[in-house]
Formats: sequence, structure tokens, C-alpha cells
Amino acid sequence: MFFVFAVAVGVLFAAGVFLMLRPSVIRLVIGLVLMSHGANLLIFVAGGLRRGTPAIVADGALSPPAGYADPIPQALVLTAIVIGFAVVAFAAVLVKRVCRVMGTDELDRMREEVA
Amino acid sequence: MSSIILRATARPLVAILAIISIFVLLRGHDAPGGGFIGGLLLTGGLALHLVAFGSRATARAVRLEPLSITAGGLLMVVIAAVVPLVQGDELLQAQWWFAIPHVAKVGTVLIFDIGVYLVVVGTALLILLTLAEE
Amino acid sequence: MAVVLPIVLPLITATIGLLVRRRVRVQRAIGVGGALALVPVALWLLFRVLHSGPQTVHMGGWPPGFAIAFTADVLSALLVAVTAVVAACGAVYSMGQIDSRRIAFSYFPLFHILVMGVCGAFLTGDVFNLFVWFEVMLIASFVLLAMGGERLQMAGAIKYVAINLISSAVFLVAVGILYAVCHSLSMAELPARLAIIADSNPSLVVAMAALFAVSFAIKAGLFPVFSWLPASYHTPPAAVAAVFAGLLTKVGVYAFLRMFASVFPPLDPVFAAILVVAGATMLAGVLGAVGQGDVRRILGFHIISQIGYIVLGVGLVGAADPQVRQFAVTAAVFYTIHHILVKTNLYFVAGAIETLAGTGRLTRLGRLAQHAPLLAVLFLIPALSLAGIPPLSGFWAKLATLKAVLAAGYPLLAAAALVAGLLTLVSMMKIWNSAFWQAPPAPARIRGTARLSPKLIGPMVVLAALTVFIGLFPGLLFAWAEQAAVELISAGMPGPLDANMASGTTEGGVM
Repeated sequence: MFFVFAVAVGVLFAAGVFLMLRPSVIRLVIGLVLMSHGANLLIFVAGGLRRGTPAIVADGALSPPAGYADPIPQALVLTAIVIGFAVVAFAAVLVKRVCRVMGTDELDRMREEVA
Repeated sequence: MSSIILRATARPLVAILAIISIFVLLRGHDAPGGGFIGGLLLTGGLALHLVAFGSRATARAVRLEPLSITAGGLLMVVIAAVVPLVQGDELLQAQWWFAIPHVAKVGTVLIFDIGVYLVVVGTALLILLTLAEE
Repeated sequence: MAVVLPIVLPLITATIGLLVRRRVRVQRAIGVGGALALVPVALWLLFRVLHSGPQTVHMGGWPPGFAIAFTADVLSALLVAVTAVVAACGAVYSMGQIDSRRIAFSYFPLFHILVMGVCGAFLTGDVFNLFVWFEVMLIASFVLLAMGGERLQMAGAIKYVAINLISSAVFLVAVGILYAVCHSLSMAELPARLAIIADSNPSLVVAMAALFAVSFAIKAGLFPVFSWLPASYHTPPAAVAAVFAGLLTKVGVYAFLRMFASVFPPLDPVFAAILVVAGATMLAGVLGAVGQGDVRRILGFHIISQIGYIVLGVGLVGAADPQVRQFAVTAAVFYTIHHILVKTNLYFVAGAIETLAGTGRLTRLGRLAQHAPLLAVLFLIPALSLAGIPPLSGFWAKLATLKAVLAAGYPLLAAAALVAGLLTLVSMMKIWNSAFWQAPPAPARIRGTARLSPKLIGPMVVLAALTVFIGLFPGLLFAWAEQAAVELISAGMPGPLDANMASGTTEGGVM
């Protein structure tokens, strides 16, 4: 399973970098989204892959089930997703404004316009 | 984009989502749920409203300005953070006051969660309206 | 409570400001009042840390290990104190410069969220929360940078946002690997665990260190990933640019200091690379400034060059001699504080020049020394300090760095530092000549100092006075920087001090 996830992280990063290298700012933002998902998936995998053993103490028990999944990476990923959500939302608004102000979504043409 | 079927079903769906979002918000402390996910559920409902009726109608239906909702939520978060300090505990330390059976335990944690709920709704709504405006 | 107050106070200020955001006058009063109130709070924290040692707070009253920890040692407290001073000056300057449209658009709440993010990054005791505070700071800075929506600002904002998001993704990856390897992200626990892993699997630790270094290098603006900085820092209003210039890159530098002087064990390849990059950064910055014809663009390149000097100190942590190591970190801390004050001040001056002459382009400026003599003096103090002329603060900062570099046995780096210092002086003299001394090419309509409101002059005077004070009495700050260096390095070294440092002084919630 680890191998599959490792490949998935790599594919997300590769796709993100590829999109970032395109001239369009909209693709740049999509690329950033993919890259942050890649990072989130990596943290998730870093906690180890275990099924069916959440770190929840059952009613009447004193400790979570043996071999429970590490909850910290899950908390980290959750936080990172929330932050990523805010950042991507801002980037989307920014790109929309930029496209409207500049009349183009290509970074290179923006430079010509400014200079 | 907006069909008569969507417009006819949007209103009840928004109402249902709003109720579920509050349910998820209140069960959040000991069970899966909480302010963030509840806020997102309500935002999902509002997004549906926006697609069906347009951003102006949504802004009118909400009445409050999105940033005011965010500000109110932040205020509740600050209160939940600072009240324990005043009582001599650490920042954000949970203070429980009483429990309403089957509904929720009332304390600073609930205030914090409602604050998060409002911040999420306000911020996400602001983004939605900004992206949808023409 | 002293530890978290510099984070809570800006949050309260921002919240109240957001609630009354339509009322411009109330906004101004709250924004400036909150920033001024932060100064005594930060000084109180510094006082407590200096007198009773590092302070740790566990949020929510959870036991250590489960709680989110905030730790203030001398380095954190010093930087928070300087942040508070810069924030107060920036808020007063904003009152005189930011238009009411931006203020109605929640300028001051965003300003305070930025300050909260910076203070949080300095005070957190956990690597993941360092990421979180970075993001808080960045999101606020994104909006401040793009606010107003002028074309030039937009183009700068896109680059700034994109490169910083890449840096954040790299940071997250590094955090993920660090956790997978060490099963901890606490800055107090990591040094010991990393030291064990470095013995058995050094290349893994080097890989992690490299990921962190790349991420911090982008945030700090190191060679070769600095291009976002000169592309964006001249676009927003001067008040915003000044606070960015003073604080944002320095948070990256702080992360460097914290992670590489204390958390990571000194591994050769990483620190050698940091030294090379630091040298290249010094030179790239000053050389980039040569071709520029705009005051703020020149200053932007000089931020980069100065960051190079500071990071030299971090790179020297790899030195074998513990005394050299300690002296290098001391120099880096001293340099950071000096640079925050001086660079913010220079951007304030650049904003004042733009207010008087309507432009920052050198070819259109002239004779400001005649029209605005006070401004000329206020430019010369930070400019000469930046270039390292005695007896200003920059002289001692550069001297200490040079001494450390020479003691570690890198004469080539020392030569690079001297060349960079000389070129800085040349650059500052270029601004002086074309903006303040020579006759303007065309009869320009330049207004006198009398037209500058005291809201603009006041912050410049305060920061210039601090520069002169540090220059005349460097011993005090130097002693504090040394204490900070000792704490940082001993936290990373297993030894008698280690147990003390790791547990800290747990502060009860009584205060």
C-alpha cells in the first residue's frame, strides 16, 4: 500500500509542477492546489496506514484499541487542509481580479503590460 | 445554469442543510462534527442557493454582511480564549458550565465552536460572493 | 500569560477593528492603540524572560506532550519586542499614509493579524505550528499586498503568492517526513531525537534539513530564490512595504536560526551549503541593486543582501569550535534586530520621499536635502547604518559577523562580505546623490518637510534614535544576543543544560 501512496504523492507533485510551468495563471493556481494536496497526502501517509483502528477510546474502556492509528498526522492534515482551503480561495479571487484588470491570464503578457 | 427544478428544490434543501449543520455543530465536542464542518455544510447550502437564485439574492437572503459574520465569530473565539485566562486557567482551557441533555454541553468550548462556525460561514460566503459577482 | 499575550492582543485588536470596520476614524484609533499597547506587553515578556529564564505555556491546560506549546526564550522575546516596536511605528505611519478607502477595507485588522502571525511564529514551540503561524502571516500579507488593486500591485502579488505557496508545500512535506521519522514535532524534544537518527542515518537528516532549508530560503529571500521580493515589495503603500521589509523575511531568518542553530545537529553538507548560499545572497543582492533606478527597488535588493549576512551566522553553526559557533549565532541575532529597525526605517523614508516628490524614481528626484533637511538626516542615519559606518548599529553587526567568519577560517567569505558592504555604501550614496543632493533634471515640484505630517516623521525619528542608541551602546543588545545564542545552542546539545531547556519554566496561569 505504501508504494501506491508514494506514487500518488509523486504524481500529484509532478502534475502540480507541470501546471505551474504553464504560462496561464489559472493553471498556476490549479498546480498549487495539486501540490498542496500532495503534501497533505504525504503527511497522512507519514502517520502509517492502518485500517479500522481509530484512536477513539470506546465506552467503558480506558485506552484506545491496541495498534491504533496515530491521530496526530490526521490532526495536522486537517489543519493543513483548512489553511490550504483559505489560501486557495484567496488565490482564486486574486486570479479573477488579475484577469479582469489585466485582460489576460498569461503571466508573460502581464509583464509587458506593466513595463 | 438555473432550472425550475433546481429553484423549486433549492429552498427546502437549504433549510435541511442549515438544520443538519447546526446538528453537526452541536454534537461536535465528543463525536465527529464541530464548528468547521458545520460551517462548511451551511456554506454548501448557501452555494446551492447562489447557483439557483444568483449572488444578489443570496446576499439579500443572508441579510448580514459576510465580514460582519466573520467578525462576530472571531469575537466569540476571543471570548472563549480569554475567559479561562480571567478565571486563572490557561489560554483556551475548557470551562464547562452546564449540560442540556441530548443537545449539548455548554461551556467555552461550545462558544469557540460556534465562533468557528460563524467565521467559516462568513469567510466562505465572502469568497463565494466575490467569485460569483459580475 | 506573558507568553501568549503578544498573540492574543493583536487578535483582540483585529476583532474589534473588524466589528467597526466602516468607521474610519474609530478604525485608526483602535489600530494604532492596539499596536501601541503591544509594546509594553512585549517588553514585559522580554523582562520576564531575561530575569526568570525561558517561559513555556501549554495551551488549554493540557499536559505537556498533548498541548500546543508556546515557548519564549531570549531570542523569541527579543524579536517579539522588536516586532512590537516596528508594529507601533508602522501603525502610526499608516495613520498618516493609508487612504480611507483601504482603511474601510479592513486595513488595520489585517495589519494586526499579520503582527499576530509574526509573534506566533516567534513564540511557538512546535514545528507544525511554525507552519500555521507562517500561513496566518502570509494570508494577511497576501491581502495587504493586493489591496487597492492597482495593476502593478496585481502582478507583484501573483508572484508573491505563488512562490510562497510553493515554499509552504515544501515546508509541509518536510514536517511530514520529520514526524514520520521522529514521532515528535516539539522543538524541545526534536534535538535529542534527531541527534540519535543522525548517528544511524545521516543522509535522512540531511534530506530533511535540505527541505526545511529550501522552504525557509524562499521565505527569507535567499539566493537563488529571492526574485519574488524585488518584484513585489515596491508595489504596496510604503507603510505596508516597510512592515513587510522589516518583519516578513526575518521570520524566515528566525526559522533558520531556530531549526539550524538548535534543532538540527550540525551536519557538514547542510551548513557548507548554507554558507555558500549566504555568500551568494550577499553579492546577488548588492549587484541586483546596482541596475535599479527606483528608491524602493534598490532597498528591496538590499534586504536580500543583508539577509545573506545574517544567514552567514547560521551557516557558521557548522563550525567545529564551540566558541566560534556561539559568536556566529550571537552576531546573527544582533544583525537581525539591527536590520529589522534599519530596513523598516529606510522604507518609511522612501515613502516620505514619494509623498514629497510624487515618485520614487531617482531620475526625477533631486535637491531633497535643501527642501527637506530633516528627511535628509533621517535618511542618512539608517542608510549609513545599513552600510556599516561607525558608530551606528550596522557597524557592530557587520563587525561581529566578520569576526565570526574570520575566526571560522573563511577569508573568501569575509572578502565577499566586505565587498557587499562597500557596494551597499555605494548604493546608499547613489540614492543620496540623486534624490537629496543633485539638482533634479527637470524643475520638479517638490514639497518641503513641513508638508510631512508628524505621523510620518515620528516613527522615523523613533527608529533612527534606536539605531543610534544601539550604535552608541552596543553592549546591552550584544549581551542579550549572546544569551539568546547560548540558549539556542545549548538546547541542541545534550548536556547538563539540556534538561533545563527542554522542560523550561512552566508558567502557572496565575499571572
